[in-house]
Amino acid sequence: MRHGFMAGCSLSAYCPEYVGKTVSYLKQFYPELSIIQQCCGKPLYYIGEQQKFEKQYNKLLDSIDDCQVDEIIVACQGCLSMLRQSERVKSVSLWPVLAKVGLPAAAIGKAKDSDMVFTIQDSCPTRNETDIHQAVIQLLRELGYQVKLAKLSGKNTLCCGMGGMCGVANPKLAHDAMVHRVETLPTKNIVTYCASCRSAMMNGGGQSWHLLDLIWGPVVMQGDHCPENVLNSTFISWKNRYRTKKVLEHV
Amino acid sequence: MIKYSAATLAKAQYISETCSACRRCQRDCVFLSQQGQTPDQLFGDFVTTGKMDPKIAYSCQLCQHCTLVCPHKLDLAAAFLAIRQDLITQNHGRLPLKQLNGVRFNQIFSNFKLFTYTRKGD
Ligand code: SF4
Ligand code: SF4
Repeated sequence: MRHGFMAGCSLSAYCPEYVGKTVSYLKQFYPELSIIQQCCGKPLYYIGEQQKFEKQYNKLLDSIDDCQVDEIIVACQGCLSMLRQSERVKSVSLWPVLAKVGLPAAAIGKAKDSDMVFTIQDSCPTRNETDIHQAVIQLLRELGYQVKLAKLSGKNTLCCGMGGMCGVANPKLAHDAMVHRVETLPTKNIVTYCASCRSAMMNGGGQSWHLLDLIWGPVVMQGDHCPENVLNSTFISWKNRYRTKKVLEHV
Repeated sequence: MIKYSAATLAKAQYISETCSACRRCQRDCVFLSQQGQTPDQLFGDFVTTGKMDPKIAYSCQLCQHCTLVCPHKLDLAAAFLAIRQDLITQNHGRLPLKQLNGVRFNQIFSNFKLFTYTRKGD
């Protein structure tokens, strides 16, 4: 079976280095891994631009076909939820894949002495995909972190506030939703596995880490500050998307 | 005035007739709770007047938490999305809120070679 990898736009805008590290790690298990660095078109779908969306989406599916990929590993739940609608390609979330192949040896137990207790913001586009929720908890515990789940988590998760392009259409309401979401969580130290959710949790008053920050980055202790909110800067976001392309050219 | 499709109106009408105004969906939805009206009223008004403020249609986060907690499993997100689609197709492709143009630009930039890359594995 031939595999491909898709990071998605917002993760690429957040952290090029960790996208690169993830791809080189996956290549140990899937040496024939193809790279698909393209937009799925979900923002167009969300605003109701159905025709433009279909054009974008079919372009993505054509690229996946051209690479003869049988199963695409997807790091973004937004992209994944769109790819799930297609019968042309099988898609799988990165997180259960990592839980299955196992974390890199250096990451296992690295946070066992950390006093940090994290909660998780599950992504709403994959609210029904329980295997993803479980894989994320498993990965966090294998890293060595303590996890305290929110009542409204898993299937019952709330949107981070960015969903449906509300952040563009009605930024004031989106901000209120972000603050509300942070308030419903049992701690302000929040792990996400979506870069947009991470940005939203920070905008809502939380400290937030992407799961890849914890796998590839330094061990986090109580009181540490999370990485800066780069998605709030349009300039840095696009610069990072360019840098991600460059990193991917060389892995 | 926007002419909504029969499919969109049917979705809205189903919600207006089925929703029992229990307000469970409002509890954790900032959009619905700020909006104030229960879905039966909101979509009932839409069916009667044939109008919905685009700002309302575009404020739903399409997260489907409401569907999860609704005793009738009403799909409000699908109805708001259908309204959005009609707002664009019935208005010659013009976007109903000017801030949405940013999404179009974003999509155009996303396709620039500077940001895309495809490599077939060996
Ligand atoms: S789908 Fe829309 S209406 Fe339903 S809970 Fe989410 S934001 Fe609220
Ligand atoms: S939960 Fe369902 S029935 Fe209750 S108010 Fe909301 S849409 Fe109506």
